[in-house]
Amino acid sequence: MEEKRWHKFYDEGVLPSLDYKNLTLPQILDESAAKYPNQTALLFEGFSMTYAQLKDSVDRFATALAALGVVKGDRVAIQLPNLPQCVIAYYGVLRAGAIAVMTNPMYVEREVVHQFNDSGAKVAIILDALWMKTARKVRDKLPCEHYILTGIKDYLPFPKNLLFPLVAKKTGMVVKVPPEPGVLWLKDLLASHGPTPPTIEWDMEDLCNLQYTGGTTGVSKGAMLTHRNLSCNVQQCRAWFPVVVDGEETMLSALPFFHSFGLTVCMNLAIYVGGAQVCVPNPRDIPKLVGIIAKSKASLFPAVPTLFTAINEYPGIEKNIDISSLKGCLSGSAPLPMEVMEKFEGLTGANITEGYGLTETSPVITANPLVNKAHRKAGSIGIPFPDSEAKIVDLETGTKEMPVGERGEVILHGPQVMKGYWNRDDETAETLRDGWLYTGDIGTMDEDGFFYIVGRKKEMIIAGGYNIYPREIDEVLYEHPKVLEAAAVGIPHPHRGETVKAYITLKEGETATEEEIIEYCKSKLAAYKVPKLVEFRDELPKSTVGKVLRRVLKEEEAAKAE
Amino acid sequence: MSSEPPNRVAFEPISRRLADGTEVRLRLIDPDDGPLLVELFYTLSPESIYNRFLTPVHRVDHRHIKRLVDIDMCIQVALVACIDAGDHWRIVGVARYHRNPENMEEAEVAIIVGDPWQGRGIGGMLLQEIGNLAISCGINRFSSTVNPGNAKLLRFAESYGYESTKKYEDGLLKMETELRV
Repeated sequence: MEEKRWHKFYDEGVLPSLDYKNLTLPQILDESAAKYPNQTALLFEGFSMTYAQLKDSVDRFATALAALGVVKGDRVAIQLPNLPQCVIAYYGVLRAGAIAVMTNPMYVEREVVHQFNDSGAKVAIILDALWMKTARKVRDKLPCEHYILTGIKDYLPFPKNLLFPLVAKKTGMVVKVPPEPGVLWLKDLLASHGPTPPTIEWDMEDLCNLQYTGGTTGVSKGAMLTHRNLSCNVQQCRAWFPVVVDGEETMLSALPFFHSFGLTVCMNLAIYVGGAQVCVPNPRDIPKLVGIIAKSKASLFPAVPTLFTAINEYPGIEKNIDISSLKGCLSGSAPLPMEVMEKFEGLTGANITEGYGLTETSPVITANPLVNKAHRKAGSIGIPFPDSEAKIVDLETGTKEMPVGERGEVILHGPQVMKGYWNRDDETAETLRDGWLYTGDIGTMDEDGFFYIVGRKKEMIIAGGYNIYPREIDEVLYEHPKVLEAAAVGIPHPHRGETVKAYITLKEGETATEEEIIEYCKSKLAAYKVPKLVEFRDELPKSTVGKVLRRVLKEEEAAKAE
Repeated sequence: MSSEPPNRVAFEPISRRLADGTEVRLRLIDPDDGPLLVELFYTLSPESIYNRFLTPVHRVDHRHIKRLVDIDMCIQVALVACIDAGDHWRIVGVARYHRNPENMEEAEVAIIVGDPWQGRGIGGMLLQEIGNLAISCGINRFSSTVNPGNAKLLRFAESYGYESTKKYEDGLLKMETELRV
């Protein structure tokens, strides 16, 4: 790769260009299982599994999927929280040659129907409680031939597995699933199939994941990530972390695996480096999370600013709980305030770096240097990864590169950039031009090649690391029988970056409460998209010709905060 | 800047033909056009609605319709394009501008054409006529706030020789076009 201005800021040992192993993700698992067969691969609530056992389960599951008729290129949906089963399911799906459709466990019926149908999922692997709560209710609208279920207790050690129904009774996680045609259980499939999946002829350009991301049209679309994309990105992440020692790390997998960030930097990176990973399905339980860090002696912790902040503020964290095992952390999805970073580093002694990426880039493509603290810049998303490039181009045509310091659209290039959007040629053509990904983010580059995000080209809300398009929320609000007009807006939030607020005008003669609107939204939208605040207005602010002005609503909110 | 209060615009209805021979009549909007605007609304796809109002309006607001038809024809001006629907001349497109109260030489502009009639030159006719009308009233600049995802409109504006300065603000595209005689 030709010399770039940012290369001189790379940490020692990080090369501008990498010699990639041409391995698909299942082949990476094979490699780790061969090197570290007896090393712990997965940890969950006292349950543990070695790499040899993980590979065995993955192979058995792939064999079972093949027996169900899954062939190369079929789509298989996975809707699981961070549990050992999610890792087994994901690698099993890939080993069978299928394309994984990672699905947010928070999705409600409307969203599941869209994602399973848009991807054409032939099989879905779902947590039993989610099956009962969501997918089963809309089964007649789903394209899947088989549903493979698993319960949390399936991978709990004795006696936690026996106690689970009692302990978790109130959480809604204990369900009775009636036997129905087409509904199978993961544990039965693993027991009844041998570890002998059919051999798949791999091509690195084959699709690995359809990774769904919100869209400006209010409908989410699947980013087509290839084996090359995801394999290269995990290798780039490994290269960026020179502090990592292969075979010796413990990854705290607290970012959801269904999201590209958790997928690559937790699940896949842990497997690539032959590390143990602790599956954390609910990182919002901070007392438990810090307990897990202390007990597991986790060394790697990719997370979002909200989590670093919550740990910093956890009572007694400075004196009573030892989390000094942490040595490498990556923060993404929202800006990480310098004081949060410094406090966390002071608490743990870890190096923490801020990165940037999109679902469309597998996801990581820029980051600040991890080790040399003098080389990181506050407020910057860092410098491009090895073999990756970023440029700032003019907003109007996207063809002219902007001078240092001037605003423009951030465009990206690298081996981790997606192939396109599934069945959406128009949007692919708009987003991928001449091999460059047009992000829709507005940014600048300084003279050292560090990038900064200063705005967005599209109307988008980023709350707690999730991209939310206001139009999707508007569409749901407009379906409410009492609503005449609605506009969802992102307003600043101290921990979540932004939070969703809905402004509503009601039809003449109607009355409604904030709670009523929020409850209604909960039935139609995943929790992170649900407005946290609702304000009723006689009218929404509009331009002279009647266009709704969200900007005015945001300005009013900002003025209130001052 | 003009200090004279603007007069009510004058526009004699005109008749044009589309490439396929269909007759299109252009005239000023009338306060009685409400039902025809409602009829137009129901021909709009969700995309067209979103691009016009920047919100996915699902149902007609009669207060809003009244505001769209009941205009003074000096600060606000609207032209409609109509085609023969047998029993009536239905509105298939609307172009309107609204002068900037702080700078009367500037106006915000918006155009909508019902989905079944898009891509047939009706938008171009409306844009041309509303542009001429604006120029004759002393307006020298059109501004518009556009969904940046509305590629169709951006191509359309360019194809009609509207060279615009574009600025991205809060996820929207602000376009400004100098009008020339």
